[in-house]
Amino acid sequence: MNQNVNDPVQDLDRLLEIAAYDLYSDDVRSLLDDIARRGAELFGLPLAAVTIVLEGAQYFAGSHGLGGWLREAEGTPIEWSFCANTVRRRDSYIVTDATTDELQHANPVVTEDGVRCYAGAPLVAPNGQILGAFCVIGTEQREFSESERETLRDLAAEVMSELERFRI
Amino acid sequence: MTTRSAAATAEPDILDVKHSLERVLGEEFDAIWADICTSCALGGDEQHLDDGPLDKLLDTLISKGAICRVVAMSWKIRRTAAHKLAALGR
Repeated sequence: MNQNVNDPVQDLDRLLEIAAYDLYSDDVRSLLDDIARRGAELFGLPLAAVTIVLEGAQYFAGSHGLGGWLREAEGTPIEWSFCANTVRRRDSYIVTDATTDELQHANPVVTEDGVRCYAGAPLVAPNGQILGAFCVIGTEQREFSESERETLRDLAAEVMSELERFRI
Repeated sequence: MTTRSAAATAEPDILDVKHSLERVLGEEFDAIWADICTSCALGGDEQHLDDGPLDKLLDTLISKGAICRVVAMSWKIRRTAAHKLAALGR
């Protein structure tokens, strides 16, 4: 894994902020799974996840609809993470058709696992650090309206509000 | 960020974990690494670990909490993903 020290994903202060939360308990997973399920239902999409973007991988702290190796690994290598781009942009990241997207068209989760559309909103900690993203994912091309993007941001804010209870 | 398959699915080893810890721990690295190696019965200069010892190293790091857990979770996910994808022939 190549580590670019200028990549916001690798920022030490951001990783220390992630370390300030207990993100791995059954209680947290149950809570975040529920928010992910609601997100998937609201958008009518098969997949949703609360991802924590670590230095070399993304961790699915909560999810709905994930199966196969993605569920078993509880994440993906950072190189395949759509949500890492949400961290880098510090803003929502939308891909309406991953098969033609310049950045994602060769991503194995697109070519091998069938991801076609993605919308992620950043998980913003109180100190401004971006921990990861709340995202919805589909297997068909899809547009995301401004209203839907606002809904996504609301769900991300709800996740962070809940996670404050799990600050160590 | 690249989406190259080979790099993403490379099997992590002890040096990957060690280098990550060095970067995030800074001056604290030597003391914490020594403590972890003692817990895992490692010399600290190993270039490669088999599955069992590497699992133990990652689990020990996770039990340390804080930034050690963040690093360990990252490598544990990469390691599990590499195994699962290899089993699928990818």
